[in-house]
This record gives sequence, structure tokens and C-alpha cells, in this order.
Amino acid sequence: MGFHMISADVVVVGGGHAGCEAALAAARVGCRVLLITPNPSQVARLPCNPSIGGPAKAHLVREVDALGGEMARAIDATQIHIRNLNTGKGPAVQALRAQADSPVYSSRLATALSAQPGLEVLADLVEGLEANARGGLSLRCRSGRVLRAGACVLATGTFLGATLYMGRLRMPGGRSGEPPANGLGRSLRALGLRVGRLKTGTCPRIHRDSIDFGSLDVLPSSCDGLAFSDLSPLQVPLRHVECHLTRTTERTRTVVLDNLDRSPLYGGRISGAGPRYCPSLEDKFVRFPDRETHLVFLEPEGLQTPEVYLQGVSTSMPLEVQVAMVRSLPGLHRANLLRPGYAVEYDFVDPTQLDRSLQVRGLPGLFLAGQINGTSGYEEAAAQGVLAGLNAAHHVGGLDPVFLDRDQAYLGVLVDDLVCRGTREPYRMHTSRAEYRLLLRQENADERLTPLGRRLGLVCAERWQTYQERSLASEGEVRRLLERRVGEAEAQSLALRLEATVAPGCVLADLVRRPETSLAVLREWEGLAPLDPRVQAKVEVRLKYEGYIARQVREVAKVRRLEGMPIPDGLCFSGLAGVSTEAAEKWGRVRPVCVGQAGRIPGVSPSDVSALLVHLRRLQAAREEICGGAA
Amino acid sequence: MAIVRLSGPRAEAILAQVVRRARGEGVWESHRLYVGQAFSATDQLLDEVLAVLMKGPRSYTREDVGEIHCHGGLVVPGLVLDSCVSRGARLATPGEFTLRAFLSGRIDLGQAESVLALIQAGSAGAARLAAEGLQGALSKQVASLRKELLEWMAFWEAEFDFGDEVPRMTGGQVAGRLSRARDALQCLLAGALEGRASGEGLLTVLVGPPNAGKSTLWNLLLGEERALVTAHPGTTRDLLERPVHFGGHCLRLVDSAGLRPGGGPIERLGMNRCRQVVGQAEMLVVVLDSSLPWPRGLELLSEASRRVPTVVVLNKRDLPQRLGVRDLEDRLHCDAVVPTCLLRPEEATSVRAALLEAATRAGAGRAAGALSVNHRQWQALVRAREHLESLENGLQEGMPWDCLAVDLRLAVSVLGEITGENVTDEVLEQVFSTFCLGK
Repeated sequence: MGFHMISADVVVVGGGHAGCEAALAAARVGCRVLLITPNPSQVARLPCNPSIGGPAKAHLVREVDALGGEMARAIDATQIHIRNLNTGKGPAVQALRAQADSPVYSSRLATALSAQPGLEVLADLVEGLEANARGGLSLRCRSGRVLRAGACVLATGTFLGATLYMGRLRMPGGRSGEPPANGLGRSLRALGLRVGRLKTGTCPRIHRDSIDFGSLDVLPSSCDGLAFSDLSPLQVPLRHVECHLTRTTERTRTVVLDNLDRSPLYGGRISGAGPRYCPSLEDKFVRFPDRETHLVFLEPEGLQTPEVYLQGVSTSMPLEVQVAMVRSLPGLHRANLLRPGYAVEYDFVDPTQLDRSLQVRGLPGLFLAGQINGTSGYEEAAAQGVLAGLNAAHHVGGLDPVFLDRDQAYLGVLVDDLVCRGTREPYRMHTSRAEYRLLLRQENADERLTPLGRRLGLVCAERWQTYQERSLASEGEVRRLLERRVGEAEAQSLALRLEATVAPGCVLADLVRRPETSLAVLREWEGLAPLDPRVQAKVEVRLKYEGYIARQVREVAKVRRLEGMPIPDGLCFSGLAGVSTEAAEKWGRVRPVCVGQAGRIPGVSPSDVSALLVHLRRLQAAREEICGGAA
Repeated sequence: MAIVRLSGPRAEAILAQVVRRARGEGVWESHRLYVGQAFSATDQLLDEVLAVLMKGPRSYTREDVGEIHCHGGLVVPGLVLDSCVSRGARLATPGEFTLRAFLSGRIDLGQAESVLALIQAGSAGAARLAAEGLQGALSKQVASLRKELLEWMAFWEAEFDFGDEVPRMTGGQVAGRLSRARDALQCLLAGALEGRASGEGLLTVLVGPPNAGKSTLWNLLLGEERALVTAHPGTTRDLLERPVHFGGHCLRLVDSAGLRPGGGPIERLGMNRCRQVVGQAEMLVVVLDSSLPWPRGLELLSEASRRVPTVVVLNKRDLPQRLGVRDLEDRLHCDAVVPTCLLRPEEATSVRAALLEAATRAGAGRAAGALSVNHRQWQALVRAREHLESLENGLQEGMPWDCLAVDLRLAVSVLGEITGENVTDEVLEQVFSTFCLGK
């Protein structure tokens, strides 16, 4: 034979955030894993903004962490700027956002991959994929290698059939300077998968020394010790950088609007749908003509690189227009453009062809994660990677697939949205997508997922022990606060300390429930040592928002009844009385597993769901009649 | 005049067999009124009729629909119906046309229920209300309130997810939106209450401690001896319900088991049912024995009386008094208090007047017009109000907005139940069309 054959339990294609987490998860549960990427020294890159986190995204990072993933620890170790957002707005929407030292972040992940037993990284480009007749998959590589795997995770990002745009320039490529993966795209189509087209873009980078910082607003990093991972210490790192803020001017508007015909977006050269939440500057001026100015954030890419990212100036204008745009911003009139912004258009696989384990229906062993599923964002990708990697391993080991529910994790919301609703734009997570937002908090990600991760073999002994210690500590403190009564004399001293009325005979928990009282102050008054801040946060949230949390728990129980009504496998939806053709067609394609899911599919009306319910009840009655007759 | 209506794939075939057109052969043109004669299965002439075929989907049920307009009365329509049935049609179950219209997506749940109310409407006033509901008076008002709440939600959600990029809502703006929404909802509820009173009937629950005279009052209001009345406390154990009409209003009067701590197993079962029906009540009549001090076991009434119009009847004023109007303060929210002695039947008149006034005052005050609502819709409106009240409480306690958003979302989704809509997508749409987002 003229080719070289390698086999592995799980092959992961792609070394981005999804690919790295998928490979690590599969290896952690004991599989022999091969990760294929053209450039193994360039894994987990941050080609768009150099930051991780933000509302809903930080929540996903915390979930990746609770399931033993790498992203949280990596950002904690490499962050050069961090803030806790929405601190005044309540427990569900508070979110960390950190800036990574981008090159260091990437090498940190490369180290994690090489340190993981059972995981091997291979430099190659996959050009074709086939399903074997007797199960398993074969992948053909550019080098001539053929890989055989029990399961495969495709995490190819924006590289499938990708084209880059800048002004009138148009070149094949998935990222600046990197070729697309066209062969793999062709084999997916040959396997019968429906493929669509999406667009995304990035912002220009300028040289730090060409910025006039004196005239810009400063955004300092937080002075508190903050961390994403349960395993990271809460320390302020030695070196933090500042970010800066500037705003578009009338001159910027003129430059953009005068050159609109030279933008590939408005010149009609890009057909793929772009994200609404990350519009190009062209889009912002066209769609919101009344808004005088738009914010631009200056974010350093790292300590050792002079590049500064211009958050807010996503554009695919020609180079000379980009220079004029950037120099119209206050503080940037001498800016030296190091890398221009550009747009990328790429293929994605319609995710309604997947099941909730991220496996392609009808192609056992083939899992997809990240932008290939139509999502956007490092965090969304990493979270899918964990689930896809784990399920690929389960497939190989003959174990049941793992699903997450919408009331359990943002990852559950993400996957459910993808597989039952699909997407028409790059899908980004928002807290408003989670109907049980108060249950899916940043601070309780470990309580929601670490026990599950432990059972699945994703969680190491150290994390498990940390989790148990913190749970015991927070439960103990809650119990203590519920039992500790305030005496007559104490009430007076407490009232002085809290500057509020305190009724003698109440318990300390009653005081913690007041929005303005902090547990730290109470403990200080008691003469007790301060709690671990992470334990303290758990105790406070549990007491202060008890009523609201309990209500959402009840809501979940109520909805679960409908949610849980299963739809028999293989039910034929077409021809069901009362179901619209559109709904029947959608259900036939998406194959919802329960009534709740059936109702969330776009284009399905409540009357379709009622008709389905009527039908399911009839089926059930018929079944009971048969059983009754036999008995 | 009577109309016999056929719906379904064979409507045209059956119509063509029953009716012979005076002129015109071949296919029936859709939506054209033909003059013709109706025949029985044995080819006997039954009546001179008008007939029309409405091809789906341009029909009420979106299926093919045939209508035969014949002479009224019991005999002729019955014979025409028989003829249709003998040619393969079957009798529709009550409300089946509307069910089919609903299942085919032709009308929404709110409209469907209005039609069912129209079919069941006993009085002319109720029929008018039902007709307005059909055109969407209720749906329109609910939709506009819901739209307001959605806008508000979009402001909050945008702040949660895109913090520094959107204008912040001030506390004053939140308070303003809340009070506007509460007023609009109050208006809707008032209209609904008036509609209920003249339509299906207000669910009016007689409640109180045992042996206070609830069953006596129930019998008096109905003008018949239907409930068993004895001197033994706990005689009534099951719920008794009867409609009663007076002054153009309709009340569905429910007599319930007396509430008290303890009691035997059967009595406790009765009290549980009573608690359930109090939760659903649209008007309360609390009957108390004024010769005894404030009884125990009535705690649930304090909350319920704030929610719905409440009339308190202080019975047995012929005995030495130990319970007065003062004792009711802080315990009940009363719209009227009537001291009386129900041993004298003529005294029931004052109770009746108080009931009537409470129902109309609650309804008429700010009603833009009476609205036809059924029990499900009424419950949805009441729940929406509860969510807004809970939001207001949270706001006063200084709860953060992401907690309050739980109530806001529930209020929106409860109102959406009346018309049937999904929250998450709409909020996101609203967010993206209102704000320029994304760095």
C-alpha cells in the first residue's frame, strides 16, 4: 500500500477552541485521541477580539470549567485585563470579561494538549471523510495519510469553503494567510448534509506606539482578585494593562458613507448572513443613521506584541479607506495600521441535522462542534467542544449519549436552540436566550455540572475535592445563619453597625436577605474570619434571591410535564390532522424528541402543537386500550 | 331561517347531492349563492333553499364548506340535516367547526374561545360581547399591553447583555412603565369583569366559618331550598353551584364548606375544595356570625379579598353582637359590609343589592367597554396582574433587575397565552431593532 494508515478512537479535526476542548475531553475519559491541524503551534487562537467572557459567554466558560475543560484556567493564567460586568444588576447577569495575552493564551493551550496523556497532535489537512461500511469513519489527509476512527469531531471553524473579502479583493482562505478546507466541505455535501453560508468579520489592529493615549478615556482593570476557574487563585496578576475608549466622529461617518460602494457587504459581493450583534461599522452607520457616534475600544493584544485591537470597527473596506476611517478617530490620527480588518464568508452545516449529543443524525460517530454549526464566539465553540468530545468518546465506548437540559446549563440552551431551531446568522449566546436565567448563574456552574462531570470522568480529583469543600462550607454557613438568633443587646449593636433596624429574636439569615446587607459585614461584627469569596457569593445569592430562585424551580417543574411528553421515534408528521404543512415539514426535518422541543421550532404555531398533543393523546389512548384488552 | 353547514373534503359532493340548483350545471362556483331545492335521500322535495360552496382555504375552517339556507323551525332543518347525514355526513360535535378553524390555524385561541362563547351565549348582551371578542377587542387590548411590556423587557435585556452600549433605564422610567402597565391591565380586568357578569356569569363564592349561614343565604338568593340547612356546624361538605340572574347580571353562586381549624376527614376534604374554589373566585361573599368573635381558619381570605370584589355579610344581628366592622379591618378588604339577619327572608334584598353594586362598581369604574372573556382568559389576566404586583414588591424591596425580569417575562408570557406567542425570539428581535449593538 502506498499510504500510511493510522487509527485512533476519536479523531478531532481542527485546533481552535472547540477542537482543543473536544480532544481534551475525549482523552480525559480514556480514549486514544488524534487532533489534526495544519499548524500545531497555532492552536486556540483569538483571531477576532482578544477577550473572553461577557454576559452569557462567561457563563459558558464557567460551565466548561465545571466540566473539567481548559478555557477558564487558560484565560486566568494569561489575562492582562479583567472586569466583572453588571455588578449592580443582580446575580444572573453578572459576568466576567477578561483580555488575554493572545499569543501566550495560544501557547498555553498547546502545552495543555501536549501534556494530556492519550492525546496526540498531528500536523496535516483533512481533505476527505467517508463513513465505513462496518461502522467508524475514514479521513483522507493531504499528506496521503488515512486516519481510521471510531468517532470523529469536526471543529473546522470558518475554514469550510471559506473566502476572505477586503474591498474588491477576494481570496480563498479561512483566516488571514491560511488556506480554506475545500475538500472536506465537498465530502460533507457528498454525505448528504445541508450546508449554508454565513459571514463574519474582524477589526483592524494598529501599532501601540502610534496612539496618542493622552486624549483617550482610560478603562482600568479590576483591582479585585477575579478568576473564571474554580481552581484558579483569586489574585490580582502582576501586570495588568489599561484599555482605552474613543468614539467615531462626523469625519468617520463621511468616510464610511462616501465609500459604501467599495464595501463588499454593500457592493453585493457577500451573500452570507452576518451577525446582528456584531455589525460592521458600515452597518452601524447605515442602519442607525440617527446615532451620532459609536464607541471604539482599544484593546492590547498582549504584553510582548505592539498590536492593539480596535473593538467596534469591524470592516471589510479597502485598505486605504480603513486607514482613513481609523485616522478619523480622536487619538488615532497618526495610527499605523498593522493588520487590516476583513470579512470572511464560510460554509456551515445546518445544525438541525444534529441530535442533542451534537452527532449528525444518520451518520453514527460523526460529531460537529463550533462555528461549523453556525455559532460564533470562542466560548460557544469551547462549550460545544466539551460536549462533542465527550459524546464521541461515549459513542466509541458504546455508552449512552449525554444531553444537557435548558434549565441545567447555557450549553443545554445553546445545543437545544441549534438542533431544534437552527440559525440564520452566526449564533451568539445571550442571557435572554435562557428562560431560567436565575438558575444558570456564573457562581453556581460548579453545583450544576461538576457532579455530572465527576460521574462522567471529566473532573479530576483536585477539582472534585475543591467542589465538595466549597459546597460543605456554603451549606454549613447557610445553616448557621438560619439558626443564629439575635439577642436583645446584640440587636442594638447590630442596628448601629448596619445603620438599619434590627428586631431582637430574628435570625442572621433574615438580615442577609436584605439587599443592602453584606454577609462580610455581619461576619466582621460577629468577630469571624472572612469567608472564601466564592463561598460567600454562594451563601449570599442563596439567601437574598431565595424566593425568585424557588419560583423558577417551580416554573421548570411545570414546564417539564409538557417538555417531557415524548414523541415516539419515527412518528410520521405529514398527514396529521390539524398540523400545517410547514410544521409537518419542519418536524420531519428536525425530528423533535418531545413536545416542548416541537413547540420551539420556528414556523410552528401553538395550534400545530395543540394538534400534535391531540394526536399523541389519541395514540396513548389507543395503546392503553390495547393493553387493557390484553389484560 | 336556518343554516345547515357542512365542512370537510366531501362537503362539495354531499352539497351537490342534497341541493339541485335551479340554473347551472356542472361545477359549483366557490363563494356564489345559488337558488335551488333540497331533496331527501328518497328524492322527496324538502324545501326551497339558497346554497353556497366555499372552497378551502377561503372558508371558516379552511376546509371545503357547504351551507344550505333553508326555512327555520324544527322540522325542515332537521329533514335537510337527515338528508346530508344519509349521504355520508355526520353531526358535528359542539364547537367542532371552531375547533377545526383553530386546528387549521385560521383563528387563534382567543378568537376560538370567543366563538364558543357566542355559541353558548344565553343572553343578547352576552352575544354582543362575544361578537366583539371575535373581532379581537380583547386580543387587541391584550396585544397592545403586551407590546408595551415587551419594549420594557427589551430595554432590560439589552442592558443585561450589552451593558455599556445602551442607554440605561432610570428608576423613574421603570416606575412609569410599571404604573402604565398596571393601569392598562386594571382597565382590561374591569372590562372583563363586566363582561363576565353579563356572560358566563361571575364565579361568586360564599365562604366563611361553619354555621354562619352561608347555605341559608345561598337558598335565599336562589329563591329555593336546595342546600341542606341545619344548626350543626359543618353540614355543607361539597360545593354546590347554581347560576342566578338579577339586574341584567349573572352570578355563578357557589356554596362551600365552612372553614375552621381541625374537623373530621370528610369535613377537611370539603374545606380543601373550598380553598381551591376561593383561588378561582371572581367575587367573594364572606358570611360571618356577628354573635361570635373573629373565627380562626380564615387566613386565606385576607389575600383573596384584595384580589376580587368582596362583600361581607354579618349575619345574626338579632343576637348580642361580638363582631363589628372594626374587627374586619386588617383582616379583609371589603367592598361592602351588610349587617343582617338571614332568618328574615326579606333581608336578603340588601345582600343582593350589595352584591350587584360590588360587581358593577368593580366592572364599570374604568372599563373602556365590557370584554367577553372566558374563565381561562380571566385567569390569565389575573395572573398577569399578580406578576406585575410581585414586580412592584420586588422593586420596593430593592431587588436587582434580573430578578424582577422574571416577573416581567412571566407577565408577558401569560398575556401571550391569550393570543399564543413565544417570548424569547420577540425580545431579541426588539432588542436588535431598537439598539445599535455590537462592538
